[in-house]
Amino acid sequence: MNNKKITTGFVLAAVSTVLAIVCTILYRSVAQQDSTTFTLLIFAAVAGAAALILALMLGKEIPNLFLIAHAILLMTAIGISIAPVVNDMGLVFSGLYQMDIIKAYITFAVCACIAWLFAVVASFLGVTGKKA
Amino acid sequence: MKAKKLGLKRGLAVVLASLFVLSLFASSIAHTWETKINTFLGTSSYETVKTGESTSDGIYFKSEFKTVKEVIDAKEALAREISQEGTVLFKNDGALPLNAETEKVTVWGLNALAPTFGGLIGSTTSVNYEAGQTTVTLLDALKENGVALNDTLLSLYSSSAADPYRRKAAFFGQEVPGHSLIPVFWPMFETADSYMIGEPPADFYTQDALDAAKDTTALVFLSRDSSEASDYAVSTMKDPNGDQFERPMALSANEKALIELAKANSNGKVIVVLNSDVTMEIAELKNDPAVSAIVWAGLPGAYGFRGVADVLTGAVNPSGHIADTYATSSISAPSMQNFGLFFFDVPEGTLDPANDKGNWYIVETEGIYVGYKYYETRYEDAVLGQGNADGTSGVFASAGNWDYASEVTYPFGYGKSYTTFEQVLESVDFNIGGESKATVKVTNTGDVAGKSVVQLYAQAPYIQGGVEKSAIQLVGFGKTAVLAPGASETVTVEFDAKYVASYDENAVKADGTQGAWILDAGDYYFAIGNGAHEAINNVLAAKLGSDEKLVKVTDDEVINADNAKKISIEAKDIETYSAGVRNHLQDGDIRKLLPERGVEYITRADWTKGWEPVWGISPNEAMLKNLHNQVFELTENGSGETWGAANGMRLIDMVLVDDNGNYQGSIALDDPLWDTLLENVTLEEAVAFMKGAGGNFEPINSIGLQVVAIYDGPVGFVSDQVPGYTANWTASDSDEPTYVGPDNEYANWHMPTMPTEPVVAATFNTELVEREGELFGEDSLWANASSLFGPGLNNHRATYCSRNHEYYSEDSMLTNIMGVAVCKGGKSKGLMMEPKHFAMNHQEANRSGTATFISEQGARETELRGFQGVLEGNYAQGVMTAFNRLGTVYSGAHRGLVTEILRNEWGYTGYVVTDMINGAEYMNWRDVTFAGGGGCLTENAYDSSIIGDPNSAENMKLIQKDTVFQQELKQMLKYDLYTFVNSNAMNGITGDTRVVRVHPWWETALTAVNWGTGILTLAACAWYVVSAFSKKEKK
Repeated sequence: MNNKKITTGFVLAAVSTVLAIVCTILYRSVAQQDSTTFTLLIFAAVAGAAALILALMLGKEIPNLFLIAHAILLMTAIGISIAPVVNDMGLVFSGLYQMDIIKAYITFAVCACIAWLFAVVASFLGVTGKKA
Repeated sequence: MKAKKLGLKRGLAVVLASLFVLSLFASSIAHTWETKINTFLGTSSYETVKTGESTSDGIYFKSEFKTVKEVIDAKEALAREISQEGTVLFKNDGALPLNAETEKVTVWGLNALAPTFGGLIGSTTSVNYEAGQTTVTLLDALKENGVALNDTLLSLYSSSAADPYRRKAAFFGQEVPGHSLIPVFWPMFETADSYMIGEPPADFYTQDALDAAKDTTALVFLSRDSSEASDYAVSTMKDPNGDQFERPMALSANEKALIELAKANSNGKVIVVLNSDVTMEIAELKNDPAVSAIVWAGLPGAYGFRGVADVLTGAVNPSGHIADTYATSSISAPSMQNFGLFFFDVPEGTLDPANDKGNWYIVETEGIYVGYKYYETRYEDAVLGQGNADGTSGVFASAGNWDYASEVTYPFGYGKSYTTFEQVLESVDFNIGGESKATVKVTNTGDVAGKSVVQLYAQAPYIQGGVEKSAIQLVGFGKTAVLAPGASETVTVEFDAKYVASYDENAVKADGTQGAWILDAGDYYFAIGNGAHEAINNVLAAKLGSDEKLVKVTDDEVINADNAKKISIEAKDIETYSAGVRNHLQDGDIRKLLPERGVEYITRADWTKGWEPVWGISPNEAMLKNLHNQVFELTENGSGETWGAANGMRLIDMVLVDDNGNYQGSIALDDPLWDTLLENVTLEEAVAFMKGAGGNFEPINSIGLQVVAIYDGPVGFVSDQVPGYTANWTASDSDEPTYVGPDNEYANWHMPTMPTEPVVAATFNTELVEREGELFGEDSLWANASSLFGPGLNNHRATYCSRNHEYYSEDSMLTNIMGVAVCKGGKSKGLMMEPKHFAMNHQEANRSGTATFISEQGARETELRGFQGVLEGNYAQGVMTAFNRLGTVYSGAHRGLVTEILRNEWGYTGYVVTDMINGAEYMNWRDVTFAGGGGCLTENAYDSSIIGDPNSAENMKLIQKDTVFQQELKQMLKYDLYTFVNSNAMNGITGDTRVVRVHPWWETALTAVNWGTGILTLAACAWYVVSAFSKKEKK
């Protein structure tokens, strides 16, 4: 374990995992919630955490598979979460609803997108590495 | 280097997989919004194809016009005619008509440049300027009529100096000139603190402008806005630009200054024009001798100001009569004491505003005493010294005790003419259970030709402390042709005696059921008059034998006891109009729900009662259950209905044609063939049809039902849903005679241009209104749009409801008659007209879920009577339920309302649809279906609701077990299909028509993206996996 290096990819994956946990919490305050989204966010956070732990324990490519799962689960959660709020978003953009009604969702969505971006960059870099 | 390459492959796989996921969800969302996307892009997901086996042309409803231009011209001409007859002359000391040849006119009022043509949202007046369509302001219309206008002041109004004062509401992301109210769709806990009047202060006017106005006739233009989803508030007292007023309906400081400037800088003639569908406080104008004339124009739509100008210039003699009481104080009606924001007194968290939408309510303590039925009834009691009518309760404009002349400025039904008419009530034939009529001889005794309205009112005998009765109520009316000076015409006014009856909640009929329409024994009076006040004065003069104690409020009122006829009934009748009738709305009466609360309603027995606002109601357990939307549950019962029988029957088989192939309507509703047809429908299709009536009724492929679209718009198809005549056509329809292709010069002209309903009501001319319905029907044929959410038939309960522009009047009988006329016209062209909002939708503030408490008598004699004629006679094909609750039960799921009264008492056979589902829990599909409601106006609101999408696997399992639910579903479907077959939605469909699902280009593009990203994802993943895990690569 001691010969494992903390890589940039590892750090980015860690940030992404933390953000996924934050997203899970943020999603609880969204007006139009969806249980599948919530479940996917939890799985994404677990996959991210698994990638990090395995990276520290195993190295090699297996942890990166969890990182891939983490990124795809995040994107799936974002995709599924949109449908219930499309109606509200349309009404806000047309001036019929106040922004407040989708503010919590926007915060969540921005956070989730940042988490996904970190995960994508981390997947390019990989979470594992060995000390020189 | 190797690690970098692997990272690249890994990252690429992640990016592509994410894009694939994203494209799948984009496709799913796009599919949900298919209708809107198709409307926006001008595409369609369905195509009708013919196999060539039928020889019929499939055109069952034909147009009377050859081109769409002819329809447009006819509508413009009719709009002008409606406004000519709907413009009301309140006051005239001879200043009107204008002499276009000799008079120069200065138009005062910034709002004249951007008047309010109609309301916002459902009845937005809309024209397509880019396509060459225009609106006509009063300024334009006066110029067209040859009136010389003073340009100096108009230039000042057009300058940038006036910009800060111009009205412009933010709506749909755009600034809308001529509007100040901003629609509010979310829960409101406070009322608006300001309203923009739109007039600049006195110091805005330059000396040049004032000098130029001298020696000209002043025409002062005053305006108030109207809008759906917004209400005026009594407490609003300021304008964001510094203008101030006592109440929004009162004249503001800047408006008063405007009038003073006009008086000081004119030739002595000051004419005030009111551009408002809400009743303003204008007593000071009436009483000001320096104000020469007052004209009510209402909100006349895109072209109606031409009619107003015709009246002002004398091209047409005014014959309009106001459809609402112009009270001196706009808050003096009993209904205004309980209007606005009232909240249940419950511990925090008991009710969830977002889901339950059950935190707010109103109590309609006025009962039957709405509008003139309050003012005139109290007046009679004050004259007769009954029930403390002349006391101090409910005094708003009187000094001391209540005094009619102080409280009412212009009574309901009042209107002047440039000539004088003598009306003589010659006979009244009152037949209980038969046809009733009155004959009135009308003579033009003046020197100008014109039309005259005959208004027939009735008074039923009131027994002190008994069933509440209005001292006077409109039962019918008629209008003469243009009468030359000296000419006469005898007008026959037919009326139905059932509308003279009162609803007695305590009456027990021979069959033992409780609740009946009663006609008490005693003296009935039938009277005519220029408005309700003159009519009741005629009744009182006949009763008292003298007019000594009687009060006149207008200078041309004539009291004539001979114009009131007495007819006596010896025995009380509680059966004739009560077949199948019994109490169904007792759960809407707060006195019955919470007797311990001791809420008092307005009563003739004692006019001191019922004036208190009813604050802080604490709902009991049963009420709370309803407010939590737990009305009906799905259970396991019965053995299920037959669905998906595949017996080969199709909807077109229900169309009847004669030997020559001419359309004859449909097979009768009670024919068993309907049941055979319905067995063909699958349960999934039926459920999808019920839950997705937003924008479109879903197609039912198993019986060949194509998409039937439903559109908003009491003044014409609303332009954001039908953005032009060509919008709903596809090239495959080009062989239809009313097809409008995209290359047609008028392809993109908008349709909602007609005058608003209060203007239409003020015509008191059913021929014009029926013609309006016919032209809505012509729009329907030429725009390929078969249904219209209109007319609005709610009562003008309170003038501060800013949606009154969508409803005709404060009077339910005038509403009833106008509704019948317009729907008759629409039906003749196969248009499905859908009155709204059934029922008790009396305010827009917190309209979603508002628990509306009202007595059953009040509900039946005011609001429901307005709907009764059109639904009982099946002149309307659809009806939209309201946003509010009746009592604590959502109106669209109130079985007493939508099944017992609507279906069983009235025999209505059209369809029912909810208002827009903007509260998926309280407007839930389960309650709506069980109660006998209909389609739910949404596309996807239930997807994220607690109760869930009815088509979900979980809910379908429950529905499959519930036979009662399935039966209700089938019954609802039967009404819908029966209605469609009787409409022009069948145009173009023949025995060999098949509806085919097609993929518009955007759907194909999305599918291509799905496949593309999917294949790339697979490739990238394979590349990555091989690189990362194959032994060869590792080596």
